[in-house]
Amino acid sequence: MTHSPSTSADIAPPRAKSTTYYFDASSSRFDYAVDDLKSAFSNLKLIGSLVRTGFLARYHGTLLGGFWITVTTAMTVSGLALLYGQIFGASMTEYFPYVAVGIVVWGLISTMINDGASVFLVSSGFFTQSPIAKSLFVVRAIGVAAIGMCFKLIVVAVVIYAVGLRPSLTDLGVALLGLALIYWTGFWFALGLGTLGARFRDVGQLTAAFLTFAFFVTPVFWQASRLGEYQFIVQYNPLAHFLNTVRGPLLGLPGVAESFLWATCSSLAITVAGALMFGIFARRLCYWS
Amino acid sequence: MASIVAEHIGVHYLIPQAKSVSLLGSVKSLTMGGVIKRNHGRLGITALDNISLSLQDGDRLGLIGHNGAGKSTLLRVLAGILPPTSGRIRVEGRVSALMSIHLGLETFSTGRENIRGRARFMGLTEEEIDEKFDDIATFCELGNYLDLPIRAYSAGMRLRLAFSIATAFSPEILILDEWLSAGDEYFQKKARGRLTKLIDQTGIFAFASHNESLQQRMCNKGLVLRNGKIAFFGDVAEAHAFNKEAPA
Repeated sequence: MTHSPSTSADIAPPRAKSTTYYFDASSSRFDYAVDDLKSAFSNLKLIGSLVRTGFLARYHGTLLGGFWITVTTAMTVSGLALLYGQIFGASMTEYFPYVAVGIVVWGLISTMINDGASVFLVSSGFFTQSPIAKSLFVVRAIGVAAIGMCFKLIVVAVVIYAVGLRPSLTDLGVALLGLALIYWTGFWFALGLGTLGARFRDVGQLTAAFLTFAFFVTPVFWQASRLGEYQFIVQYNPLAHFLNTVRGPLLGLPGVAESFLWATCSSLAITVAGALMFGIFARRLCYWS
Repeated sequence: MASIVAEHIGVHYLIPQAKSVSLLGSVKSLTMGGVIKRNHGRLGITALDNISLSLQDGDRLGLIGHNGAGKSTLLRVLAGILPPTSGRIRVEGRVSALMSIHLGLETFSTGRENIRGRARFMGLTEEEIDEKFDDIATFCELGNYLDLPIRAYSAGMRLRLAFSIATAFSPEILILDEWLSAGDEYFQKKARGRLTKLIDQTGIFAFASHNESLQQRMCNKGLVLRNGKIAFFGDVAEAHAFNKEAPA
């Protein structure tokens, strides 16, 4: 190898080798993002320790640890179910599990959207100071949300069991499929929204404002059937369909197949948009955050 | 075999927050820092401008330049942290960038957990960590403290742990932004020996520092940066001489 300023042959794109780093500002746009994603998923142990510490940091030193999530969820669900059950005049055995699953799944969706908007802002200290994959912090955020979800599902399980519902294995499988679809979509959504949020600081605020609105127009704690002529609010609301892919099979609600169709199409669109967003701008993230 | 080839590297970026700072508008270049320019009415900084350089095994590069000349930016580009906005770069060989050795340490985790966590963070495999674990635990001399969460450590103890982990693994390319030191006088001496040994084992070493004599001892090449441009690249002693003779 020559020592003089190199010729083009010296700097040709590398053969596949993990210890080689190659970047060309005029052409490496998508390669950079793909390498980032590959590197993020290549070390499962690192994901494990990042998710673990990310989760534990919040509850360290508390008596209940992660079970505080269970307590908080139980409080919210009971409060909503008892009060709105009276207002709506709904039967408790139907309404309690409806609210429980609704609040828990909504919590997952809103956490992923909210944390997604700021994911690169809060982790910029890491990837601007060390050669570590940026998307790793999206994986971490989704992982932390997934662990929190386990503690919330305890409430769902208890409520469903208590009111005497016994979903079949198929129903459980379909609900898990719905949940998997939400995680998948959440990952790409956070990847894209996080990139946008790193560039425009208003995105985080806008997202928070939007989520408050979305909470009320999505049938989380009220039943779609009560809308009458305003059914379209639910019909054309992808969030309602994502919710129904989990709640529908668990509680035997109608329209599960239709919801899966809606959710899958939305998911595909979000996957493409998120991948494009990150694909084009991943290499700008160090400059933005 | 390690090698670094960089061609026409440029790092330019806009400062979104400084849209209409009229005060800076007329300033074309400063003695300190990258070049501030106007770009479509917005302020931008050129931190690195047309940097081409090629390094191979045995090269010990000292980066010379005042605050904001682009030393750290160049190191971050070489380490693969910062993708440049123009030009291309190819780095062969495993890189270890010892810039923020505290990064990835978790205050609520014990010293032992942190050794593993931080080493994973540096991109090391479980086998490599297993192999070096005892060496790190012995070198930092923290004894029973290793079983306590590091929030119970003093700042000096934390630094000893971070230093011991960061310097345990021998990379092919080592990047250092200012000399690393840790602990009291006794430990500093020990740390100096360990870091020097690590540098000796490394194929390529890139070192930014304001300590001239240290750079002369550790490096064989010198690169003088001025406002993000290469002002001189050659022998390290000549580079320092150039830096003194031709002040920016």
